[in-house]
Amino acid sequence: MSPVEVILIGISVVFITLTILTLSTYFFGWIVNKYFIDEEDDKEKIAAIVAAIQAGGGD
Amino acid sequence: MFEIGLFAMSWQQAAMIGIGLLLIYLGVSKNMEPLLLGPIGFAVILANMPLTGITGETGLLNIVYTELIGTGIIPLIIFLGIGTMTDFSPLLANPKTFLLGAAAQIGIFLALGLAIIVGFDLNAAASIGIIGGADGPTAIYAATQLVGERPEIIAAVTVSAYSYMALVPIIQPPIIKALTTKDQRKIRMGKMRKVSRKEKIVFPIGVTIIVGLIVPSALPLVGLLMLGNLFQVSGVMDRLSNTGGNALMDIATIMLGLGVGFLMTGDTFLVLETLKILLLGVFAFATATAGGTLFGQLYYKLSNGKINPMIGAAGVSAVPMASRVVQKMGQEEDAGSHLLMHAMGPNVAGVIGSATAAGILIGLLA
Repeated sequence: MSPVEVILIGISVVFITLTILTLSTYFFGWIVNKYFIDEEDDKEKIAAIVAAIQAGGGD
Repeated sequence: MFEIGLFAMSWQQAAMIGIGLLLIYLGVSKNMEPLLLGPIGFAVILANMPLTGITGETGLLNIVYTELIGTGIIPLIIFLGIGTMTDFSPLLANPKTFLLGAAAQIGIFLALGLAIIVGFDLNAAASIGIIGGADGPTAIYAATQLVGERPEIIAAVTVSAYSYMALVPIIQPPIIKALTTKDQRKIRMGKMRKVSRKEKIVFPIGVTIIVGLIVPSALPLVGLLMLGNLFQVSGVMDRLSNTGGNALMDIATIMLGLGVGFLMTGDTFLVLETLKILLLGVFAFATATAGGTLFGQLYYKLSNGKINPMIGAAGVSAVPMASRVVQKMGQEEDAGSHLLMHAMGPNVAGVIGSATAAGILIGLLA
């Protein structure tokens, strides 16, 4: 295998692999957040909303 | 028969003891990668004392190198430890920064090309190129797989990789400055979204499977990195995470220092090739930084100026030094700028990118 082939294959495969990882991370992140949010996350969100309401006025 | 060591000492051994002292000085007094340069420097002194037999076939240093480093075990264990200490949240919050980690790997391949031009064969050139990945364990693992029978190259690659990692704050800023404008360096980036625990758990498993299927030869490095990370993010394997990131990592680091010291004997290290490798290492680091920054410029254009192009420079995997450099340079232009977490995305992507690049080269050439 020639050095030029190694360089071209190397750069291409690095980009292909990390592109697939990018798309997969977006996809699985979306799936997890849409369908598999666990109780802890919900509690955190509710706590944040409650805190925002309390800080926003009224008493 | 008893012999006095002093009379058997060659000038090369004396010079190497001087280099060992210098490495200890840099580690201890200048705080440059002290956990690595300290043990390596001491082991260099051990390895170059005459008539001790410590580097002989049954000598301690020879055994440590042959059984633990030459086989690739220690670099992989260190990668597991790194996994326990790495937070991939910035990357999960902004997955497009993965590609900045890919762009910075261009330094590996440019240095490979230059190494061929200056006379190295393809396997040696690939080992030298990996210095541009800015990742010590990856560089050692790749070198042992690619040029296992040539200790002089492994030693120079290792010293180069770890020394330049410590020099990131000196090497990167002039290159970043040359490739960005003052206004670009001032760009503030918004707050990142919070990443859920389940995303963090799915990530190491997913990366392992995907990388394993595309680049099988990268799996030892990426797999161990991700296993360590799973220990950390699961929240139920604290004991394993603590051991992997502390005791095991420390043991592996000591063994690495001793093993690399074994390689640095006068007759193998004091050759012209070492100097060439050290210079090629700087080139690899510099072009990696440039590649990441230029890709950052592309992101800057595509985002209509919302992404600070400097974060691309953190795509070299020297974690977290490269991110700190970006943060510091951002604050020099605008004291209220906080780029650290934004730079951490490409930074940890660079760890995966350099391990993938090493795996590709091993798969093609080993």
